[in-house]
Amino acid sequence: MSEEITLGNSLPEIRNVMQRLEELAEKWHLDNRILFDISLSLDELLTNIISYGYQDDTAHQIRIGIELKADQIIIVLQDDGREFNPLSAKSPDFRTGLNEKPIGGLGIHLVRKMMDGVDYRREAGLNILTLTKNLD
Amino acid sequence: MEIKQQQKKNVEILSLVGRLDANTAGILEKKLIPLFDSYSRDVVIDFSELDYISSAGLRILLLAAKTARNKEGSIVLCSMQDFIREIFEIAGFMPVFKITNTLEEALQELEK
Repeated sequence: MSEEITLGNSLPEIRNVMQRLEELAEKWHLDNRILFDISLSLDELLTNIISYGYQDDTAHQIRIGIELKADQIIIVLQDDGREFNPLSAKSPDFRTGLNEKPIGGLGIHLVRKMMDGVDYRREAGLNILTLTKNLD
Repeated sequence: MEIKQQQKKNVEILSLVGRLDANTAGILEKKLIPLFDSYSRDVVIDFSELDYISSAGLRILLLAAKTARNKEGSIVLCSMQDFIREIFEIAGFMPVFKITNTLEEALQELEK
């Protein structure tokens, strides 16, 4: 089973994506934990793309493909923003004390912890990020 | 997200209701950070009715922790649902914040 969600590059549209995910979770009988991990990961990635991905003022489309397999959910996120590999972002290190805490990279760090696989490629002017979440 | 605000003794209690994300983080920032304009303010943030948090919300809390420290204030978080506490753990925030199970414990913590 698979679904596609499309959104424009404005932050309030992320809420619509979250609602679509809730509907999908119900339809596919996903448990709340899986829904939460997927919602938060997509929220973080979409927020980054919309906030930093575009250098013009024109409207852009972001596409999310979600596929339910027997033991995995595979999500493919495509945007035509500037080239950005989220896997190159450094994870924040909070052990060094409050003053030194870098703020950037936190969202990506959460995504990497919550997903079982994150894979990036740049193809035909698109950032293509594939997320894998194991169902257990 | 909605923020309910009340005072008990000299403690400012903010209760977060709904979703704390990139769309709503600004609401919390405007309410929370100015509380530390005056010195040694005690603030409790009640998470019991918070359903969701993303890194945009975590950033504001981190900013609040820094601001509180600079102004000799205190901040205690309480009543988190398990999955929100887990995000704090994954984010590496546990050493940064004092987190209690209940509002009562949070208020006791500030009396110490």
